[in-house]
Amino acid sequence: MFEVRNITMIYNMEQSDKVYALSGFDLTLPDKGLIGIIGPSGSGKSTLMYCLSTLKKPTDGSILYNGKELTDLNDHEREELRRNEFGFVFQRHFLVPYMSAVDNVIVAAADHSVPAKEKAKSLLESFGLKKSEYNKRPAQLSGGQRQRIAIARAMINDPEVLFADEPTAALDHENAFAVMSVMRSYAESRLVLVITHDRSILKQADRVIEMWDGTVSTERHGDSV
Amino acid sequence: MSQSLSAMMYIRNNKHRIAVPVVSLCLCLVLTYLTGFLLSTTEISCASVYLESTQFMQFISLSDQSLGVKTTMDPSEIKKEISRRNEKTEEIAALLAQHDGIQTAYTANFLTAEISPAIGRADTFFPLLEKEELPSLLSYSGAALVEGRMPEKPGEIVIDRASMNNDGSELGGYYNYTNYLESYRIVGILDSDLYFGCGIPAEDQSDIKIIILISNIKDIAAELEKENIHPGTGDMIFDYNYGKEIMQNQIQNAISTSTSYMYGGVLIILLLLLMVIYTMYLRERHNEWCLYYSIGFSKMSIYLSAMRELLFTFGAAVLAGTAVIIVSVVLLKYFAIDPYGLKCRYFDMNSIQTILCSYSFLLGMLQIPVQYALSRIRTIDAMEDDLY
Repeated sequence: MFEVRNITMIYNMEQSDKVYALSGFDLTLPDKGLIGIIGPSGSGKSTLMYCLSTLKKPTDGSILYNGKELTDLNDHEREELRRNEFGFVFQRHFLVPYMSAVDNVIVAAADHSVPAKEKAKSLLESFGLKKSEYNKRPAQLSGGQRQRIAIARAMINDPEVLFADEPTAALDHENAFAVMSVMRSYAESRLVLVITHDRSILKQADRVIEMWDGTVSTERHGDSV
Repeated sequence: MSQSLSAMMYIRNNKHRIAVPVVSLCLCLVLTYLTGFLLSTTEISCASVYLESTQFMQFISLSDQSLGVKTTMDPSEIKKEISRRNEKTEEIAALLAQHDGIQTAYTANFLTAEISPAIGRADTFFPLLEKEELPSLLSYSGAALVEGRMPEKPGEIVIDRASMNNDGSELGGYYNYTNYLESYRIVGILDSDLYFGCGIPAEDQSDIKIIILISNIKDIAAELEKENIHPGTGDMIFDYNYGKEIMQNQIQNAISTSTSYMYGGVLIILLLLLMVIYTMYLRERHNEWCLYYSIGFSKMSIYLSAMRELLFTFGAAVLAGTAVIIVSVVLLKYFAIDPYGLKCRYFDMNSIQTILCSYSFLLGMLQIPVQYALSRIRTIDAMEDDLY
């Protein structure tokens, strides 16, 4: 699905103290599966996710997505791709404060019809939210519940690729494993990229990519994970 | 996949917030329309006096100089002078009666009447004739007696109901607006589209007579010129041309100037209020818009969603304002306009134009905070970069 070649991302390009967030490496990602990207802060894992998801444009290198060169896309094409094929779970949940839990999920839906609402409710249910919480606003919910709503929002359009940046950071272990279990199921047919510090949640991952100082240090596949 | 952001989501979840601009816009609309409506009582009522009445009846009062009568300062000679004036007036009236377009010419006394709308006033005259002349005058005017009786004795008058209501007088009572105090008693009520009245001169009425023409001629001065009379500043000709001048110079211009300042002031206050409120709202929605942009909604989609919210706000204000205006107009008509015998314009195109222009201007000005907020949209990765 993704073919990354010599990807380089430099911050502070104009200044003398350039920061190499990604320092030229190759990577290939499959069409489906749960891929974990792990590494310390500043290792470049979030930057990699943002480059793959078209939110950032790399300084150099190539990213092919299903044979399409992402670095050549214009703004409109990138927006279309993000809206139709990608789903996002950000580090901070970025829920809309005035909307209910259900509305926060369907805000990203292709339409706001009754089936979309039903699907939103079913996703929330699968993430362990009670029916009484569907109409609550984010401020009335716990951090974990908010994060689960953000994950449901990312999955509402059945994206081809789900990008999740620290999706379980605000969850306790029980809920974290429940969320990962849903993502694991989703990864049976789609690609799920999970960025985390927490190695324990990646036990079910098909592949773990460890990053260090802007490059891929190790990759583990299948049982070795 | 085509996808747009729903404007209703914000509106449905922020009713109190939306209510603030809706109420502000609604009040502005109601204030603008009702001001125009109330001022229309001045314009329409004065137009009835100055433009409609003068198209069937005109009053001419010529100075001694125009009449060719020598003015005297000797009190013993005044009666003779008045008699000479009246003779000359009758001569000129007889000559004017021969002109095309003039149906008849009376030499008569008159009662000064006043119509008082919401702002300003309009002076008019009620002819005072001989008892026998009154039916023909009524027939010319198109007025008909609907209550009471025709004047029979000196000091009796009949007037239309609107004039009577405006004067605050009643059938059987005295007409209030006159310098003859309790000299003119209302003995009958007329049905007339115009402010109109007539009667028989009271015994203490001045002997000076004027010419009252029944014609559809708009420029009476031109008719006098034909008789070699050159009206000057000392002459009073109350015809359509004079009425038009008064309407334009004293009424329409005054209304237009005062309302322009008022509307301008209201618009500036409303604009400042909306700008502050709207900028505050948009600032609170910065993260929301950044999220939309990050998950693939274009800035155009976000802009269109904001525009739909604004249009809904304006539309709700128009609907609410229209309902308030309809109720207010009916109540004002019933309690403040009809009881005072005033005329008004329900459908005020000028006010509607002013409102449309004001709303367009406000909608245009609100593009500034929207465009500024759009320019500040970033993707969430950029926002998170700032955190570290």
